[in-house]
Amino acid sequence: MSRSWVFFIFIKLLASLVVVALLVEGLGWAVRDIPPSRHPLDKLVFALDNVTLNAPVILAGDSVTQDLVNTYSISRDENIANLTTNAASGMVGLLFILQRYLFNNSLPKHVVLAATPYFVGFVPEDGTYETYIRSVFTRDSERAWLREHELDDGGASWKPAILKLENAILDPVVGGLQTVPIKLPGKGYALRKDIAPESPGGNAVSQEELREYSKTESQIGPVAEKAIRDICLLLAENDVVFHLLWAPIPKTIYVKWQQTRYLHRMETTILQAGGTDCAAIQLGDFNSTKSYPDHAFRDPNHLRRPGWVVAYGHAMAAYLEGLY
Amino acid sequence: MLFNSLEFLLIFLPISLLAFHLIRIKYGGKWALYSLIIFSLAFYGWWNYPYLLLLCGTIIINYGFSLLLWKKNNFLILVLAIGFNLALLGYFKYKNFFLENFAYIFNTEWELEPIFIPLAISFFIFQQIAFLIDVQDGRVTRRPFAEFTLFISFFPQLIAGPIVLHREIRQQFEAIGKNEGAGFSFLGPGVVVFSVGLFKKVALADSIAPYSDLAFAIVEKLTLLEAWAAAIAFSLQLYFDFSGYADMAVGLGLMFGIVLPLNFKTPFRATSMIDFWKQWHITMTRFFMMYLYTPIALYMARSADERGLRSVPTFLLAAAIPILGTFLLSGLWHGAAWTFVMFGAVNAIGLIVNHAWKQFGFGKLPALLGWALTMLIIVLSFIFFRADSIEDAHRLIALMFSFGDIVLPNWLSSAAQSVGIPWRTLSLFTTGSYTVRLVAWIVLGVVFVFFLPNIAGMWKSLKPSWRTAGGTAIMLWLAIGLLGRPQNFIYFQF
Repeated sequence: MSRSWVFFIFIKLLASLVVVALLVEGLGWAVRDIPPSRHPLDKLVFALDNVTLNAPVILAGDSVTQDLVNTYSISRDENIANLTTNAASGMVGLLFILQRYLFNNSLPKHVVLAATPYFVGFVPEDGTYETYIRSVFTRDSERAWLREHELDDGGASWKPAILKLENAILDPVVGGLQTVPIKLPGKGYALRKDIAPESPGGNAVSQEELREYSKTESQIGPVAEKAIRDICLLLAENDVVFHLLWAPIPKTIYVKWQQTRYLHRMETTILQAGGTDCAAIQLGDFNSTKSYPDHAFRDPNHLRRPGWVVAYGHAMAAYLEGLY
Repeated sequence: MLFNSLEFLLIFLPISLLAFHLIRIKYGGKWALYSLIIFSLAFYGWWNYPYLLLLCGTIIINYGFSLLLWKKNNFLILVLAIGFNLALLGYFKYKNFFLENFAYIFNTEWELEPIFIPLAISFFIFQQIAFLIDVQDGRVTRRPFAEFTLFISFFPQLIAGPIVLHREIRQQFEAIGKNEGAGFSFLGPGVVVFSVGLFKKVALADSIAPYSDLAFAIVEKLTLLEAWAAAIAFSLQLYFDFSGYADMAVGLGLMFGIVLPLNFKTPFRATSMIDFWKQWHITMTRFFMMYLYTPIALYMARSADERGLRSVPTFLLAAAIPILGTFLLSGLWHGAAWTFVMFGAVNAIGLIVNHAWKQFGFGKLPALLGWALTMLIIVLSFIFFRADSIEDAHRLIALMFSFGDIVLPNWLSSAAQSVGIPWRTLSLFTTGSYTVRLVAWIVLGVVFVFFLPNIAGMWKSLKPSWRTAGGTAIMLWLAIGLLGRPQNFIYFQF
């Protein structure tokens, strides 16, 4: 090997490896406190820490409700704080979101959770847990809660930034570009009265998908139960009324779940989760006042746009109307 | 073990490299070559050690055939030897395929036990067939058994090629044996070339793989735009996967002071089918050209000449039929499935049209048009390469050309409504962020295809500069940082 290549291997390449690693480490250190903006939950949490809202009603829920309030205006801006997420963060995520909201804002009168049973029982694991809980909710109190419930082993293994470029550099840099405040209902399209539920648009969910979905009767495990209990306790301490309503469910599944008393069992578990604190929950069901046929859904969890989403929007607006 | 596995990078490579060069310096090149045989066999045995017996068995038997051919140059011995190799390949790779088709034709049903295909069997069998033909042709004089063993089992090229000709490597082995080899001379360029290959495989191919894997698993649910995204994503994945692995092979060879032939140039910049196949899987194409296409084409050309045929029939006999036959077999070489045969057929048709266009003097196409047509045929052929069935491939291709059926994803429903395009829940473009990432990888892949120089092909002109060191360091870190992800190697199955 010529001397120049010897010098290349043992000096230039090694030095370059070290310099590149150090540069990236330095950049990672410089952007370490910038919150990421990978998904809507990141944006929501960022907004919670930076925007003050004093809405009398908090609307929470999973993607069926998020889809509604991110697209259509169901109330005037100042009436509702939109804290909807998708299912991935579950009730554990909702607990932390509410804790952060109540810490920064004036107390609401009502928290309305309009969600599917799946959301209420869901506790994320593995990659979903990492992406939607662990890397999002990083306050000491949140970490302590997760450790207490054995979701977090507490042993964050250190890795140089060069070996986790996406988390250490890309996410914070992209996150640094975000300026979007919390998105309130009222920014979207108007809930027009003339859009009928059966307006054409999108696809209907297949019966095969519904059959598969109907087999999943997710239950509320100990961690989700503890999250529900802590939410009840948090809201009770602050005199906030907690409403839990089942979001629209495809009719055949809804009928089946009524026959098997699945929804009833879920409600019993929720009411019993936190002793007296959860017993005060106002339970409700959007399916009891209006039936949502199977073809109203584009997949088992989401309504078709625009007609059926608007129909749900009218039902939601009517429910919230009495709470301001 | 794969080149992009931690056990290879952290254990096997440093130990084998250090041992080889230390033995070479202390005990001489001959012993270093012996050590390389042991490391190569250990490398193969790491994957599944019982199959090491198969590799060693073929080496011993084929060397026996070579001895017979050196002793008595008899065409029958060659036929017997090739028959033995093809029978072995046929049993392990094609037995079930032929029986399934036989059962289908005769409308019977057989319970077929799945056969475990030995790693890289297509590569080491072909290399041995080429060796035997060269022996029979008198191009290879009598060689020692150890050299033959290393020629076949040399681990950088054992798993996925390049398919090396004996004459390309004999002198290099001899030089090492006489302590006159390259020694450490190529170590630096070898590290650079290997790093580029590792980057292509781990950072690019493995990043695109989840998208194309998903798309090809749900072909029946895709729409026009998704079908194009799936086809392009897989084409890029295949290119970075295989060319990355080939670069790693070349780089590893250089680290041991051995120059392996180049397997890829820059095929996605090709402006014709002929040009593409001069740049893609070069050593396999060369094998088929040398040992299959050329003899058939020469025979056919002579036959056409003797019969005084006119230009079109002559072209059909001397070019079209040999190309078709060669590429159908080349397709089958890739895998025992009709999808691979179709892959070969589509390329054959493209090549025949290209040759005919040239032969009958239709004039040169503008480069951009030539490139677009070439890429279209290649991408279509890769759909057959990847699809689980012919039906899936047809479905995907039909989708790609159903321009009246543009559907936007549900998350773009507002935009779709405003421009009057239907929308629905899509299975690949599920969410905005997922779609943006897929498109970003495709764009990044295309940028690398056009702007990343073919380092493996220009290793001799590499300068040991700070710029080279910086680029290598960045690519190495990017690859190492992503090593923990699930990974596979497409050509592993061949």
